Amino acid sequence: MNLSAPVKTLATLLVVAFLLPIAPMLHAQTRLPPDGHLRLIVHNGTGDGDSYYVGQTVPVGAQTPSGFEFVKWFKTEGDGSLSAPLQADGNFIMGRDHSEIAATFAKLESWFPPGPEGSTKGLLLPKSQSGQARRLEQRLRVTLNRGSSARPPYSEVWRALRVKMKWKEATYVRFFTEEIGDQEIANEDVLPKDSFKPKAENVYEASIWYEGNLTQEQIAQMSQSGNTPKVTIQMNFVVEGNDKPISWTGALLPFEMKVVDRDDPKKKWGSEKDHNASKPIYAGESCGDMVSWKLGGTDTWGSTVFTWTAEGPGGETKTGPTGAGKNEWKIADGDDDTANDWLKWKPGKWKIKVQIGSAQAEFQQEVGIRTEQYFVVGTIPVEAENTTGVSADTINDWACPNILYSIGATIGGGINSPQSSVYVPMDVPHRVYVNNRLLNSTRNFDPDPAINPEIPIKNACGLDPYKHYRWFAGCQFRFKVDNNTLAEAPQLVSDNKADLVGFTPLPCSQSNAAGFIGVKHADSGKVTGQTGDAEFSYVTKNRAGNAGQVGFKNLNGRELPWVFFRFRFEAKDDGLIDTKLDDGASHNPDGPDAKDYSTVPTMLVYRRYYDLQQSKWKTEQVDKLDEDRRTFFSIGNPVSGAPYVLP
Amino acid sequence: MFYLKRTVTAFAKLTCAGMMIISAHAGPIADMMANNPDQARQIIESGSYADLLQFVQSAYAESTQANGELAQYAYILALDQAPLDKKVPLAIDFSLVKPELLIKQFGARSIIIAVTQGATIPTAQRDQVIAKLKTELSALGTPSREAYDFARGAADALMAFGDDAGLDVFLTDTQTVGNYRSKDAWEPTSAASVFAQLKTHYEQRASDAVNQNPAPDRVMAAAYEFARIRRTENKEIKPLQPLANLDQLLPK
Repeated sequence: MNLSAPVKTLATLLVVAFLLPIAPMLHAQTRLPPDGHLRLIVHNGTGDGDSYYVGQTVPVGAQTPSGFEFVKWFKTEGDGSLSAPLQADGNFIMGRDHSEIAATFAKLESWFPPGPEGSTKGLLLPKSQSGQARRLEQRLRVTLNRGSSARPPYSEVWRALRVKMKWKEATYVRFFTEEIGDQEIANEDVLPKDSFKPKAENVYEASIWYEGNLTQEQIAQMSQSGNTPKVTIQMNFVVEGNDKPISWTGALLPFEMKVVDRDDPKKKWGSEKDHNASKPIYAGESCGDMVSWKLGGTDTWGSTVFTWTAEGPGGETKTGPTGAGKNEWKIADGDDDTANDWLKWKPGKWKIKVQIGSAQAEFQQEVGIRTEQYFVVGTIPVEAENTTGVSADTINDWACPNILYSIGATIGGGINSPQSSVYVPMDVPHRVYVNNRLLNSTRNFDPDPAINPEIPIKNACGLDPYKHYRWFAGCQFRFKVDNNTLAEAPQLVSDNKADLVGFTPLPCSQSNAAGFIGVKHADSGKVTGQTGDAEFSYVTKNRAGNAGQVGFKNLNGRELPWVFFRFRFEAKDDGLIDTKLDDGASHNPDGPDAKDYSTVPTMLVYRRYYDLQQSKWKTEQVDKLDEDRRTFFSIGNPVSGAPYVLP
Repeated sequence: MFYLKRTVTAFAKLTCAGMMIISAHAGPIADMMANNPDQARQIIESGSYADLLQFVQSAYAESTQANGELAQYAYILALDQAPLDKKVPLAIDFSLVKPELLIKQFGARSIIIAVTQGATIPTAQRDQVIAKLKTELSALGTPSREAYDFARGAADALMAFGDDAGLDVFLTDTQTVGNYRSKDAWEPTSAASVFAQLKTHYEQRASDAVNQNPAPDRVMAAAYEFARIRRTENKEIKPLQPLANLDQLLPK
């Protein structure tokens, strides 16, 4: 409805005139308690009572939660008054009515990407590179705490933040806010509340940033003792005309972090790259990252004493360098400490602390784990053949080179036809003998001497799929840990993963130039393990190709079982393999079940690593799991209607 | 051979009884493999090249039908067991012209075996197979394990034939080459003598009686010989005009 100004005024007057007689009546109903005693409710503090009298002075005290600062008392009900609303301890003068007051609190936090949330003790300025300006973003967060009180309206609690930039050479650094954009502002300014974005109830965040365009000399100058630039952030609450300040101060220090990413473990210090402390680094038994955290960026800290420490998960601590001018903590080959050429820390969130004279900088560093590289070669060796109870005809048919042609009857089914020239009698000795002949005549060469550590796992370390393996699988992971469980799904290191099927070579072939390639199960190459899991795994699962499956079915009256191996790792651990190698093989034809590997083939488990001292790739055999063929022949699911099922 | 004698006897028995083996793997080649393997053996091991090629092509065609496992076995058997002098022609006429990368791989491997085991290969045939290998390498596009394996095999085959294009493909496997570089201590601009020494080193390894897997060492010896020649021409040891890129062919 559109009303003209005179009409609006008239309407307002009429409403006021109508309400005036009612107002004293409403007030009188709540003003006088029937028993003459007054009640004071104190939220978030002491002083509660229900037998106060008019004009009584009641001592009240705020109970400030940990991490917060008291801001002010608010009166939310009644007509009494506070003697000093901006002091945590004071008096409340009872009025003529019941009253209710609430203490309110606030927390001011600031952090600096790459430093993580909560890194409030040091402000780390990224090193300038060749005169190019680099931005340092700073985040401010205001968290208001109303404790048990549903009121007051917190939008009225605070008004603005005053940001003061203090350092001797302020002109080196320019100051911007998200609110103003790229327009430079003075090094002391006020951020109105409107420039803060509500992140949650009673939580507001804003970004400001500094843009440094510093030469190495200027950084050095800034880094001198007594010339350390400082930033002060002051939060002001406006209460009855008075400001209630809460402030935060951080030192401005150039910060530099370098990392050698040892997904390629051959890398040494010299191939380090700039890193960001908000990104994880990875520890490992032989392939942990190399890392350096450095303050100051120059070597002009000669007279300043540094003390580096780190606090990790489970109360673990590490001690870094200490002494004058030790402004860098470097864990890398080529450092003084040859026992720690790469990171081998426990996974989790670490606090890196550096004491600089009397000041302290601190930031958080997440450490994950890079597992060792493992690979498994599934291979068929030659085993003894038991000819007891086996006819001379069968022995002849399945000897080399006759077997090359007898196999046709295995695939075609002639072995089950008594009229066939290569009929195999339906009893255990004959059928097991032929099974063994089929495997022995298609045996693999011993892979061990052919393994070439120089060739990566993705290329099967140089092994030949026709000669050396029925399958080859390998993996390496990076993972992050939170409280001994996965912080997120583990990541395969792409260059060091393989899930390869080899060939069943032709029988009796010395050249192994052709054969039947195996087939993978749909689960092969899959990674298990999600956030919160205590372990994770990588499975290879496959079997012979179609011709082999048909032949096995005809020979044994059973489906050809799947063969598999499960790489298992524990999240709490050090990145070494946790596959249950001692638990024996699974008898499940469609495993894996609780057991981690199948009865066939023979599996050779290796670790591949790079020996930094010798500058050489190496492999070492972790275990050898001998096949159990006889069990394998009999665990497949029986085929309905088969003329013979091998027991 | 005793095996042949017995098979003939058994076949005679079958004929006398007037029975036929019914195979699910129907087709002339499957029938031959199931009921008259001697005939297959004769064709593969001592038949004319024309009969062998016909056998292989028929087996391949039959293998694409339902229940084609036995026919597939037949042509794989033929490729493997064919006499040395027929391996390269079979690669030219069959393995390298089939669309399946797996069969092309068989062809590349057959060629390496023929060359390294001393088969006599006429110059025209040699030129033809080199050209075919290069064409096939150039045609590789979509990354797959099979494509990668074939490219590796073809590169090795080219090097075995003495063609520098094989080295160019090999050099695109950056991780493997990088590891060989650090292991064997060479740089793209190392002196020719460095590569000459490495060639000798790998030749000796390949000739070692205890070496059960000499083929890779032979290939490395050939690769270093090509590298030596390049250095004498003042060319760096890096891919110049590779027909295929191994890094790109391997799926991530």
